[in-house]
Amino acid sequence: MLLKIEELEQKIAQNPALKIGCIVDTNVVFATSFPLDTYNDWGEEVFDTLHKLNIPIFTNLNVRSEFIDLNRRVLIPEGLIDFYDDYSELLSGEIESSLKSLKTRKNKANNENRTFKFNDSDIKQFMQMFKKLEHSSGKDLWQLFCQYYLLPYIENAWEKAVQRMKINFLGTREIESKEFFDKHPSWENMVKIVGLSGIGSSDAMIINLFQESKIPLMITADVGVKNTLLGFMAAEKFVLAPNPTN
Amino acid sequence: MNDNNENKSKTAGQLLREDFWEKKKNRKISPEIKEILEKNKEVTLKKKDDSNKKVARPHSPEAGV
Repeated sequence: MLLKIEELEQKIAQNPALKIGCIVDTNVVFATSFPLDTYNDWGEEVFDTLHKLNIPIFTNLNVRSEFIDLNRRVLIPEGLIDFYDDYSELLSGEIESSLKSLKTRKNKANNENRTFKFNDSDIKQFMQMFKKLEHSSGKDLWQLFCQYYLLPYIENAWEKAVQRMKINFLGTREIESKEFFDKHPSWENMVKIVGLSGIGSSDAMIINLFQESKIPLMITADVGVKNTLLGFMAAEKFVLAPNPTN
Repeated sequence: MNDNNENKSKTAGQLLREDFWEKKKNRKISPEIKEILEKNKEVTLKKKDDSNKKVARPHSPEAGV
């Protein structure tokens, strides 16, 4: 069953099984930790409600590397815009025109209420462009950009998110303890989820973890995960996702 | 002590948002980046100037005019 944030508190009161806990995916953790994400307010409300009601929050260790990668895709364009604003008077040529065009694309995404993300090819394009310029110390412009505009934000981002959001991990020990699991999540079932839905393997892994667990609630800000869960999950389980208008 | 009490009353989202904006606000200009960009701007302007000079010579002997 699909839940809305406005219904969460009431549903938990009506259904004590929901107090066992919930599983969160990368997008929820990311949305709550990144102030410019479209779902930042929604994520804040979700965690605030869970903390108030003392609902344990779980995830798997996969989320950690996905979280860092998502940060990289969002923080690099964000840093490049700050770089553009900080050094606008000194910019020229290809770097100036590429950053100007990036700022236009990012403003358009903001106006459309979308979180602006780079793909790998966007990142490589700027990396190559910045690497052409070197300082006498031997460092190139890309290394310096990362040092000033990426590292300070990404360093400790995961540790802080886990600590502030009070996230627990379902690792091998927890899965084998049977406290939260009847069955062990399996590679075969994960591949089956990919094959039947077309979603990525990391998303399929957390869906499989949720399916095999006794935990009744999964929280996701990813529309693909939400739709797959609604298509596959058992009737007694719940999924909490943002409304299309959040 | 007061900071700890204040932090306890804030939500996870509020604390993470404050961390982020604090970092943005405190970002510093790098002398190394400044030096690279100044040098690059000089080179770009020189190239542009050279190319303008070429265009501005319609009566060059090479063109046979």
